Amino acid sequence: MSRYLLIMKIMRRKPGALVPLELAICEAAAALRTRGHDEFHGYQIAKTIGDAAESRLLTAYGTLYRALARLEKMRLLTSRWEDPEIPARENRPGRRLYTLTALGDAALRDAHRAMEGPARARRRLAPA
Amino acid sequence: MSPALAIALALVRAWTRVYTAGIDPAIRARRLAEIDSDLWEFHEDARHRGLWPAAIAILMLLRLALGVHDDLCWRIEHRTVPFDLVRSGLWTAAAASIALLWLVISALQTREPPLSPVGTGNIVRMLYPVHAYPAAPPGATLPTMLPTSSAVVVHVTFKGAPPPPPPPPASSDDRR
Repeated sequence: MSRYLLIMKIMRRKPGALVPLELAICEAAAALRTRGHDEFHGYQIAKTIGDAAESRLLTAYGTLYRALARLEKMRLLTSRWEDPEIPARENRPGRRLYTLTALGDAALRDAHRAMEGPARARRRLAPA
Repeated sequence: MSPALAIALALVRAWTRVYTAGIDPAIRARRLAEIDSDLWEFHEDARHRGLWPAAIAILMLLRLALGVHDDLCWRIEHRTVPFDLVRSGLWTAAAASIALLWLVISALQTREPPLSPVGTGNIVRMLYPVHAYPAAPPGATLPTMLPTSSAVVVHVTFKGAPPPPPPPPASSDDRR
């Protein structure tokens, strides 16, 4: 059974490849950074992904936070709790703040390049 | 706060407590705090956008329901019980299920006559019983002859090849 689980794990993902949600999170993180938010919290990411997809329903709690944890484990994101004084002052729960790492940037570039390749080949093969 | 929203918040928090129960307290506290923060941010944002409390509650519950699968997978990833123990437990449960199934089948068998001459061990005949329906009254069409509420089960028995036909009667020439 452990061998079967291992095979499933290998089949599910190529090494270094990002699943669509992980890619969407990295893209949203990069988009937030261009808007001046180097650090972002979970809801901000869900909102950015939802806005990009023009969807009212945001990524589910379990799906989002599991993917964030996975990206952190892959070292594409880092996270920290915000200073406890800030939420205390603003009377709200504390936020876990995530940052896209240099490795995350590289993975995003690789993913875009990997997507560009087949698209370029399709354009080249398409009849004029 | 509307009752619907209060219920939705309570459900999301309760579910988070349920699936994080028994894991490393630090990991549990982090997940609980993250979900709590997300709930607050979502509520505030939805309120500023002018969403009705009922709509906010529905969206919260949908976000909860759609993530249940990932919550459970995450829980399995953070299991505290060693995998070998889980595997042994699964094998034991499977063996116990088979034994129980066998006992149930045996108990059912004792109440009914054997299904075939082969005897009580004919599992194929037991799982795929032969159904037969009463003969159609003369002139009846097919749909009316099929009973709607119950079917009569006829136990088919195989008693070997039919007896050979009787020899033809001796003619008068033979007698002579």
